[in-house]
Order: sequence, then structure tokens, then C-alpha cells
Amino acid sequence: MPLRLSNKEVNSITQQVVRDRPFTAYLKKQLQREFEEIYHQFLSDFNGHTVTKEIEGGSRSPNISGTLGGVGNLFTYIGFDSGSQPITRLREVLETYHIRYNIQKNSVQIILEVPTKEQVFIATPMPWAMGRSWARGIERGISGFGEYLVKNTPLARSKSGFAIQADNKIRAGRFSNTSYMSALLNDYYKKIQKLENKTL
Amino acid sequence: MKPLYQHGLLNSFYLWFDNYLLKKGEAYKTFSTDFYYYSDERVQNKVVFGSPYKQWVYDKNISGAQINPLISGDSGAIAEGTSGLKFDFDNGRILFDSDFATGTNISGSFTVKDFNTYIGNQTEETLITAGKYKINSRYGRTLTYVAPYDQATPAAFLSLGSTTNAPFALGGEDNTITDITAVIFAENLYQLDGVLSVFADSSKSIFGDIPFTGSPLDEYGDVKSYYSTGYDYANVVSSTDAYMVNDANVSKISDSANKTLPVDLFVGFVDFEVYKYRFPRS
Repeated sequence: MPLRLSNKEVNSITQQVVRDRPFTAYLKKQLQREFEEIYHQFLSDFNGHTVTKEIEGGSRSPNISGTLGGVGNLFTYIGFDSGSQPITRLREVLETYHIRYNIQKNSVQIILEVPTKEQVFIATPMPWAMGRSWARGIERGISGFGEYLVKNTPLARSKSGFAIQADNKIRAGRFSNTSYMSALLNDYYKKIQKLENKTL
Repeated sequence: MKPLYQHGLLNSFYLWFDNYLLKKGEAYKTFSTDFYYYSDERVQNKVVFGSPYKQWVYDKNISGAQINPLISGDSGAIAEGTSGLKFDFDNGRILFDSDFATGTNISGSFTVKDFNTYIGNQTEETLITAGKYKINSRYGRTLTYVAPYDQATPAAFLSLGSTTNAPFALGGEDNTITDITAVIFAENLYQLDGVLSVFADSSKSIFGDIPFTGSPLDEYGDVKSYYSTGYDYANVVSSTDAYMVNDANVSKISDSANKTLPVDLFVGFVDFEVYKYRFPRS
């Protein structure tokens, strides 16, 4: 004969279970494991993205992302200073996450905090414009103004007519936008949402 | 080709941008100056007198602006239409019939935009690095007419960026998302910060459609006769067919980059994201 429990009894059991240490330890371990799978996949997608690789390759990297039609590379096109590491700063932001557990009356509320798109765009400032994001520019289009600035080193500037010289060089490469952080983050958020809806 | 969605958007956005800056920022000034005769081969059978400032305000919606320039000659006030008088608001000048005496002393008062607005056909970097601009005359310069047709600063250059259609509702309705960039050239930091402040607050603003044919100026740069009582943005703009500025992100060129520029101007950007719900396949 099946055991019949009243709602009151079920609630009482649930309340005890969510406060049970082995249960919460199992829950945390299970969630951590499943989240880390998503997290590492996300970082792997980010690290393997051609835009990431190209910028990380510095000023001598080939245009593997194809955004410049094979001419030059994103590092110099965007106008990063030689030796700077824009991907390192971005990666630091992407690697952050917080998992908080709120044990409530008869449930455990799990809050997963990962970087928002806005945080990512703030962490990727254009080297020559305060408030503009190069990561957003990769997706929406980006001007070759950065390349102009990089080419106007103090040495080159000593020659007269530098603006006209630079103008000719700029025209060598036209930027084609491509999907980047928004697409990667959307995929990340979707997987996290799936995890949130999952019954462990 | 008939006017399509992007043509209508750019026209509507240009007129909204102009009105918004003039109204919210009160970015205009009224001047009384002399006018200077010069010949312009592009304008046949007309005598041209230019003012030292271009892009006069013609929008009746801007209260406080001198929408109908007051022009005086040797023998007093000259009303619009007398001796064929027409205003070229864009080039900041007036046109008379060909028999008008070129030696006449002309003066007048009119309102000038603090920022001229242009639809840019150059890339951002070309605008910044290779652009050669006339500067609307200011104190300390010898007053003469400002050359017609050339672009004058302080100015804002608008250009359309990428456009995508994102599914929005059943039945084929999409959200058409368009990126529009305004490159701002200002004479000083105060001006630049002012423009950026005005448009940073424009996020979530709604602006109505003005069809391509609703452009206010005619071939002479005067308000079209179609607007018999004058052009008023608030009356012309559609109240039902609307676009939304979903996001407006402002930024300016860093100090170190500014030092490298060949132009003696302060440069900033406003990146707009404009939404429009429509049926692109119908």
C-alpha cells in the first residue's frame, strides 16, 4: 500500500532535508561540477575564438579572424599599444563567477553570478576613446582610426605630411564585423539558464 | 530606386537629431552681421550675399530662435520675396534676383546652430584624420562670408552602421536594429561635453518618421513652399510611426590620442542603437 503523506508532512520533510548537511554538500558539489563544465566550455570557446587568438598574438599576428580581409591584424587596427595585453584584462573579467546558496524555508535558492555584457564592454575600452568598447566594435564595426594612431609614432610624426601618409595606409584594410562576445555570452547564459531550470 | 527603409530612417534621424540638440541643449545663437556679396556659379540667375555663419535654424519648434531672418538693405528692411529674396539656411546666405545691385550694403539677423549637422559619406577615420573643415566664423577672425557647400565645424556627422532584423512577433514582425554613429567635432571641451551629455540622455527616446519626401529644404536651401506656414518639427513628424533610441553610448577621444590629431578640434562619438518594429518581408 503506497505511503500517503499530507502536504504538511511533505513540507516538514523538505524543511529538514534542505538543512541536512550531507544534502547541501551534495547539492553544492553537483552544481559546482555541472557549472564548471559550462564555464570551462565557455572559456574554451573564448580562448579558441579567432578574434581572441589574433589580438592575443599581438602586433605581428596574421589576420586569422578574416575581419580585415587578410590585411594587417586586429591588434594594430584597433590601435593597442605595443606590449599591452587587452585579452588578459577581458579574460580576468570572464573568469569571475560567484555561486551563492540561500537556504530558505523548504528550498535552496541558488544564485549564479557571471559577467554581464555591459561589464564585458566596460572592461574592453578602445585604447583611444574613453567609453567605447573594442569588443562591441568587433560585432558592430570598427573604424581604422586606431591604426592611424599607432602608425603615428613620434618617429613617424617627425616627417611632414603624416596625415596624408596615414590616410593611404588606412585604406588598405576594411573592417568586416563578426560575432564575438555577445554570441559567446548568449550561449553561456542559455546554458546557465538550462542548469537553473534543472532538477538536481 | 524608390526611397526605402534606410532612406526614411536616416532622414527621420537627421531631423530628430537636429531638433533634439537645438531644443534640449539650446544649442543655437542669434547673430546680427553684415552680408558679403560673392559669385557662385552653381546658382544661376541669382545674386548671392553670404553671412559669416552657415546652417541657420529654420525649425519653428525651436522657440527663441530667429526663424525668419531679418534682412536690411540700403533703404531699410527687405521682406522675403522682395527682389526675389530667398534664404539659403544650409549655406548661411541669401539670394536675390539677378538684377539686384551687388554693391548694396546688406545686413541681417538670424539664428545659427552651435553644431552643424551633416550626413557623413566618409568613414570615421577619414573624417577625423583627413577632413579639412571650414570653421564657422567666431570672435577674433575677420568677418567675411563662409564658403558655401564645404562642411563647417563645430559639427556632427551622422552615418548609418550595421542593420539586423531580429524576430519580434508571430506574423513576420521583426525588430530592425540599426546602429547609427555621430562623430562630433567641437571647438572646446565644454561644447563637446555638452553635446555628449544631451545625447547620453536620449536613450529610450522615441522619434517619429518623416518620409524622405518630407525633407524641409528645397534646392536653394530655403524652406519648401510645401510648408506654407513654415517648418515645425513637431507638426511634421509622425505621431504613430515611431523609432526608438534603445541605447545611446557616448565617448570621446582620449587626451593622448587627441594630441596626435591633425585637426585642432575636440572629437567625440555617440553610438546610437535604433529599434523599429516592422514587417520587412511584407
